[in-house]
Amino acid sequence: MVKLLKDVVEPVNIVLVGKYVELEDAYYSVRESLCHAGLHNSCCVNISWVQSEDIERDGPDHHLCHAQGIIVPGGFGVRGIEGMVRAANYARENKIPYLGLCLGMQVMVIEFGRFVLNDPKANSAEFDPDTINPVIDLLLEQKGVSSKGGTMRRGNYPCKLLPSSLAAASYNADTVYERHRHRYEFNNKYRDCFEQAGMVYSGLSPDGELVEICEIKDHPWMVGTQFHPEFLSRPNRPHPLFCGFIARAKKVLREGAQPTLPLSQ
Amino acid sequence: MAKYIFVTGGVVSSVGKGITVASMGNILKSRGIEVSVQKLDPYFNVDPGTMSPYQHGEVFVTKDGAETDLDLGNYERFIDIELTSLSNTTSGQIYSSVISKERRGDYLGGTIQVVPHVVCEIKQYFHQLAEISQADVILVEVGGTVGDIEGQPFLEAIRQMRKDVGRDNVLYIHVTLLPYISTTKELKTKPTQHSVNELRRIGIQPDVIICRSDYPISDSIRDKLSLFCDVEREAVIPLPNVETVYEVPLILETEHMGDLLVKKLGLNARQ
Repeated sequence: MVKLLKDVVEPVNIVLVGKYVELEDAYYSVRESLCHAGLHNSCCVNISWVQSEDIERDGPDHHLCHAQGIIVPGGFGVRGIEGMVRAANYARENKIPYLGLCLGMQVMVIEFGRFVLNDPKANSAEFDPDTINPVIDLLLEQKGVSSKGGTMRRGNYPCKLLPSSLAAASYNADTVYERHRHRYEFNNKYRDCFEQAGMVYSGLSPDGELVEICEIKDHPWMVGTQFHPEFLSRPNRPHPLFCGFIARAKKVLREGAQPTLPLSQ
Repeated sequence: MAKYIFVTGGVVSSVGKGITVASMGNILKSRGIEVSVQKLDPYFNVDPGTMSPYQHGEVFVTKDGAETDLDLGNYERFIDIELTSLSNTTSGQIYSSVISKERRGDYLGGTIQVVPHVVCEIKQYFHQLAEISQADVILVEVGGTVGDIEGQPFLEAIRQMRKDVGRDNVLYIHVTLLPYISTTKELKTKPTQHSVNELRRIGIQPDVIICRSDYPISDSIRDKLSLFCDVEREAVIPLPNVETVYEVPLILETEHMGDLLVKKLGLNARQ
């Protein structure tokens, strides 16, 4: 495996948009999962670490124009959120593969609410407690919890996959167990109108109450997960979603490389 | 009964102790030995869940929902096991448990002290993991470096373990850094000698020293460390920087680390 790791040459450029990018250790498992998935796809994953506040300042083009895949990992708090929403917007409109983990899924939902359903007020109750359209809201079990230590919804929970979705194709299973760590969730009040506009809920809790995975119908590969798949990836057993993401991002290289040829001739 | 490998760090932190421990787990498992791992973090937060990622890096979540140190991620990835909340113990957990026992009256009016009460509590965590995991070997990584004020109760606890479970069932491994002096173009062993001295002052004689460095380590340096630190020559293991962390188990194998651990702890290993 180590030999393989040193020998792979085909690069795949992945941009990670987060708020703690100055310290790579903050995304340790995400980085390792990308490396495992790259190995499995015989390519070397080059990760560009982009501070989401920089996207707010410079716009998405400048930082994302070389991205063959965009990943928005987990996080908390309002700082940098707008930059992540713009990254998700860029990925959706330019059909760049996108993987959202936890906060990355919530950002994907907010972006969809704002730019597909044209509701500029769509937000998470975490970032604006008084928002009139909380597409992401506090988990019911979290209402009234004020203590910050050890009070989130954490650990393994089952997730039922929707047959024929991207997620089910990646996992090749109907139910999976994944690790969680979150306080907020997709607000079920908005489920129907999002679905009509083209969002697919490809993973749900067994009782159907909690959106675990969502994807975009008219997009090559845009998947957000409420859980953290990065904790289950192993060097010899890369995580299916990371594998699917890199496999799709690799294709963007071939297709994306063509326009750089001298088309005028 | 489980055997224990205690891993301490010297000279500086962030020297790759976590990867080293994970790699040792990997090479023991490849010999058919069941392992479990525990990380001791001397800080007073109950868990890293509330700490800023800038301070602490990623928070790793185990299957039972514990918010733990990112080293647990390395253990899980290298050894391919699933750990639980028992595998990450902090001073915050130890002290809050001792204090709640005191409030309940469990100590029957005794004066609560670091020795024996806090140290006994720490040892309880080792035994609990051994019992529940039923592993052959428990690898315990002590966070921080030797000499830290917060780490002292943990070092005292691992020192007492040798007496409690028997000399042949405990191994002490010290991971250090050999700094490189560019003007004289040489690796220096003095900081390692000092940190081993500090360990001995506490009552721990390391059985194995793993030397991290930016450059290859010569035989004469191994001889010197063997002499000054009173460790067998084959138990001074060089571990220079590598391109990818997944190479570390292979390097340790070429230095016969696996055979050394098996021999020293008298383990029943598969070839």
